[in-house]
Amino acid sequence: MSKKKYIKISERFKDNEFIDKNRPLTFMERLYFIEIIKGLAVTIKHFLYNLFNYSKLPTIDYPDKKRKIPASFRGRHRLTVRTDGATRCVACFLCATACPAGCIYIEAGEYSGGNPNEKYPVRYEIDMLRCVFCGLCVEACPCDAIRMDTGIYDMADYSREGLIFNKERLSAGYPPVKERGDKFNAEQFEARETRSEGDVRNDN
Amino acid sequence: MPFNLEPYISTYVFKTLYLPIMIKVVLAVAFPLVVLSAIPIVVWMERRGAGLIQDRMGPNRSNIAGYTFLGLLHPLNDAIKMVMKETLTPERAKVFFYYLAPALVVIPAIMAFAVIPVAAPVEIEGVVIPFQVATIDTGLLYIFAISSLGIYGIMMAGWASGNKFSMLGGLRAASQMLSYEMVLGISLVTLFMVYAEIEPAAIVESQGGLIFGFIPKWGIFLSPVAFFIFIAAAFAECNRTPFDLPEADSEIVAGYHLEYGGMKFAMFMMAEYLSIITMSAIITTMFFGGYQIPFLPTAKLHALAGPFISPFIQIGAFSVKTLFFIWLYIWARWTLPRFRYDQIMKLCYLRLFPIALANIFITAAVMLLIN
Repeated sequence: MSKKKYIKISERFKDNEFIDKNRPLTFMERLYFIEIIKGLAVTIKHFLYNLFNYSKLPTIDYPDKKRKIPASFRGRHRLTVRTDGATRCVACFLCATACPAGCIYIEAGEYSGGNPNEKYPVRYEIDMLRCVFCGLCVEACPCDAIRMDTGIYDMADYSREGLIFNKERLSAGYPPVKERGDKFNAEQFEARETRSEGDVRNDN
Repeated sequence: MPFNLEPYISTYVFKTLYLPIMIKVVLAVAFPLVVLSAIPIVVWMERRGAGLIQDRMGPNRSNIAGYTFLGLLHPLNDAIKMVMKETLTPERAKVFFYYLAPALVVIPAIMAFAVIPVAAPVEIEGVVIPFQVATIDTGLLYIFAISSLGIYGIMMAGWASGNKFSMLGGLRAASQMLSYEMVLGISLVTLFMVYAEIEPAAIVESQGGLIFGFIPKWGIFLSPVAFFIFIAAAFAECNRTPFDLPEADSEIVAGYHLEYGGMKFAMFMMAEYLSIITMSAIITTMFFGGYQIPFLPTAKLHALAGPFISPFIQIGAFSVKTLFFIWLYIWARWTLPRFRYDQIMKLCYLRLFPIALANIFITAAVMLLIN
């Protein structure tokens, strides 16, 4: 007699229900035929259920429809701008220092005249192929100049150069942030919602 | 004025000689065309069916101007892709046999359809139209002869590719198909005994009656054991799951068609689906009364619907039954895991073969008792 070994398959089984892998098959099971019918019954149940409840399938028609993403989702970065259109960034290099992937490249420049901000980035580039989307740059920024609230996650290009985003690309398309810590305003939310209009379906 | 025999002779000759030949030619062209154009439908059934069974959607994105036709355009796209692909010949391939093999797989798969009747023959103005390409007295023996030719193509593909995995796939296919060919033949012997016929049209005709007045006189009710053995052997014969060892992707990559690409690979795919269609048609013919509609024998149908419409009703009945068995193939594929090689051989020689043999003797004894 071989030693009996009990293996608990998953939480779905009740505590006293176990599957004994060493149990010898009964005659009906050895016939195999009835077990095949049982198996076919399981698959046809799935087939018929899905056929008549096609819209309940967990699949999302991805490029056409997108899943709603939470507000705190870290998507592609953007550089915020002031009301006068100038970038909020003061080229302090804190983001580039905090960046673990080393994907931020900044070239600082000085404002001439009486601008109170003194510095600005002449070049500000993020290499999206290197970025790990950790959000440390956003946390490091003292001026709320870089945010990851665009909700964009599907960047693709045919060349590596195409995925190095410069200052203009990073700041285009979003309304200015008046003050530090400005909440994501209604228009901005609108802009994001149109990118993810998919109805959220059962995604088990 | 001399008596002109010409129109009489020509009408007579036309009706008895030319017209039957023309009908046969039309049938011989129509049958392969219909069966070949059924392949995309079966592929579509397989892919969408697999999707739904596995809680997916299946391919549904291919479209013309936004119309996807339920995903029916995917087989078309596949065909275009396959044709456009580069033709590659492996360095170690035996070139002649390498190119011959796909053709040798497809041709036997479609040839077996020649003896299957899809409707009862109708007589219109003295001309008999049979809905069967060839009425051969050896009937089913022809089917076995042709379907066992399919092994040559697969073996040849496995050997001529010059790849060890292909070779293994070819060997597996050869041993498996030869073994199950035997079971396939023997399981049908009981049916030959019951019908006392081996010509498919005659077999289908004799399935039109009723047993005890309420059960259709179909093969499955006359010899149920033979049906289950036959269907198991038919799955193995088509190299379909759970007997798909020749292609077993997880063990030998893709088996005998590993080195084939583009249209040559598509030929193997076509052959697989063709043999599914043909096998389903044979199962329908032998065990499910072919074109017979239960409780509506041919004579009654002809009286009801006339000779023009009733063949189409019977073709419809035949198609529905065949489609069910095609669906059974697909359904079983997405249900059952693959057997191990030794299990397949054990199942064949130690289970199915003895049961099939015993079935012959038991059937013979029962027939003796009844008569």
